[in-house]
Amino acid sequence: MRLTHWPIDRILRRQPKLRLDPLALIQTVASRQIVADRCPRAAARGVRIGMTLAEARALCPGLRDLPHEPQRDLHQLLALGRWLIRYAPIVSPSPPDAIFLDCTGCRRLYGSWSVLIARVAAAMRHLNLRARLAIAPTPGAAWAVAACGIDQSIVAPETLAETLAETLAPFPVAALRIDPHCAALLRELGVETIGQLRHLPRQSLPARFGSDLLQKLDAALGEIPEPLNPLPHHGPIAAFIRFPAPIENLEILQQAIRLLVGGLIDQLARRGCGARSLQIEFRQAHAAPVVKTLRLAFPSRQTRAILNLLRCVLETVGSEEGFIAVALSAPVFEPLADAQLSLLDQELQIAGDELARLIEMLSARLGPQAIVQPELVESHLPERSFRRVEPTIDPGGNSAAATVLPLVRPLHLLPRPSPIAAVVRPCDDGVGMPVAFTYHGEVFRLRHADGPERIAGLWWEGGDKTRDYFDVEDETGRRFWLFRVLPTGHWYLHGLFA
Amino acid sequence: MQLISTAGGTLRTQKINRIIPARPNVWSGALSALADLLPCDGLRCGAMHEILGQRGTPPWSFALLLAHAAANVSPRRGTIVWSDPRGELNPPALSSAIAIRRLFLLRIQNPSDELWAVVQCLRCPAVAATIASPASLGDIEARRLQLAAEQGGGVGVLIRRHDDLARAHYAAATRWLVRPAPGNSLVQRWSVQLIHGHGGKIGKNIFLEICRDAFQPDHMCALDALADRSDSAPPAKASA
Repeated sequence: MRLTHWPIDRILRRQPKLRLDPLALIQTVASRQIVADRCPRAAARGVRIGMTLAEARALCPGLRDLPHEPQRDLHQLLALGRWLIRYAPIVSPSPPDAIFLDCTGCRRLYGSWSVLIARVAAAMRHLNLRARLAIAPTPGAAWAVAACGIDQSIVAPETLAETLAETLAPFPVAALRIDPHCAALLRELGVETIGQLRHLPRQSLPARFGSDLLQKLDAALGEIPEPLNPLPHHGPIAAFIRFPAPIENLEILQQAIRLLVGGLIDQLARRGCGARSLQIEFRQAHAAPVVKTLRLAFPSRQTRAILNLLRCVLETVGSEEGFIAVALSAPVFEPLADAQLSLLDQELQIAGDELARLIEMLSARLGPQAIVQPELVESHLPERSFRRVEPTIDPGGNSAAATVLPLVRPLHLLPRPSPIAAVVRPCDDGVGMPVAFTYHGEVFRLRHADGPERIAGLWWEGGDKTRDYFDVEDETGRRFWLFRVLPTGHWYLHGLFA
Repeated sequence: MQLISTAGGTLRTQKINRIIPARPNVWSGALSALADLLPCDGLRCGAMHEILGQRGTPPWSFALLLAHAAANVSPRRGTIVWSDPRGELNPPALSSAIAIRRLFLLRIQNPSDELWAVVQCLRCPAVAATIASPASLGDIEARRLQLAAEQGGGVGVLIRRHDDLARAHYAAATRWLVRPAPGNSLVQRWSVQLIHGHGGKIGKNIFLEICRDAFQPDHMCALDALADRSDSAPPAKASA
């Protein structure tokens, strides 16, 4: 498969809005900006690959330009290759713009070659990628046919070498994927097609044009093999066990889970990975399956630790009619490197591991929200000045220095401010200090009040309620944090200096 | 290495690494009056400590003071776990006192699950202090917490209401009564009393002051009496 306009198709696929204007990809060579690829609209206006950006703009006034990014093209080509594994087991991207699919033995799955090629072509059309496809007995021949022959042509893989040579004979020599200089030299000498090239004496070719030419020619004709470099295929890491009858006995379930964990850890070890998250699914005969997800603080493939966590999960799972199957999978896994214990910080590392075990155990049994960590957020509103995040282990501990707030904030902050009735010292502008307040039927007489500390509301979010905060102390020494909402004059209790 | 003490008329042996010494590491300088209240072997690690407060003024600052002392003993144990089922703790207020990266919050609504989680935290050797305010505590639960703290070696701090004192079951090494005391606009005061603790000065009242600039243990000050202090004078900052 040859993606004829891969760089531009890739960008247009990501940003469909760019289809509206003519677009060119620009490559900077020394100080010149050269068109590396262009969209059909620009091509219709006469923009050609290799011309400078200034010329292209002269031809096509509304031309938009983006930088040409070969690395990203390559990366996306590999991704497309992985997606294509659904059509053939061995997929080998050949940068910059070709992908080989080794469909040996796939014919009986599709019925005929034309069905396979039509399906891949339809998929490419659906992805808005312009591609030329061909099926041929060798990669070299397939490339040549895809590049120069009719689109979606099929040269049956059973074709004999002689017939293949005849098919390839009318194609230009450049279709052999040879060096452009070599192709130009051949053309200069009047050797235009592969057929003409085959008539030249073989012995003289390497001396004249390098050994590559003869190798490519033989590989295309199937006289020497051309190995493909396949993309590795990774299936999901999962294990499954089905019971002959519904099981509710915990011991048998534990035994089954032990077998599943063994299988899962074998798979993880083969890939050199550790699980970051585990999903266990208990299937029932007449009810929805019970699914539990575990998150691990570190990637791990330790049988004992995983079994302990799953035991915690098993305690929370119950069914009246029993389970007919258990499936265990690792949806998230990461490469696991052998860590070296350092001599001096060993204690810290052990402490970090113990803490990780604690967090995993608590979140496995009581859910991920059971243990959280506060994170300070830059906000003036007291209730928004922190958020609760997933716990992370930081064995060093002192790496993140404590942020010292110069403001007085109460340790005990009510989740929702409570309305109170306050008595205010008489004042001209009606915004006097509080002298007493009533909360839950109890009257608090204040000895003194500090404030106000004015905190403006989030006007950009529609909340324009400015608050005046007062730090007050009652006669027994209890400290409270009150505020008055300025527009309404209502009083609220927001916190206790506990 | 073991420490042999004769506190309370009986001979006791304790592992030395299970003890936060009374001085000079924990509460020296401005807080030495507080250290004087402690039993002769200091604040014990691997034990529960109870703080009784009054309704409407949970003694959280004092709990934080105990946890801070426990976290400073060993670099390995730096972590503090605070059980806060209703989400009332305001972490920015204590960010100046402890490294907020080492603080974990438990948010568990079910009391029995919360107790289980607190026991697990007490058992974890990496946790320096676990702070919890259980609504009710039976004899068996109190003993479970005490055993878990002994196993883990950290400090467990229970915050409870003073009203429950008469019918409360407890299994704590020390019990403290913390009540608010009148202060001024710059200083917040509490009166602190040790009401249980073998070898400590039981029943003696001292005053704890916080300078209102920022909550930091080294901005706290413990005083034997308030007689010679004027209301307006801010407390001296501790040298520790």
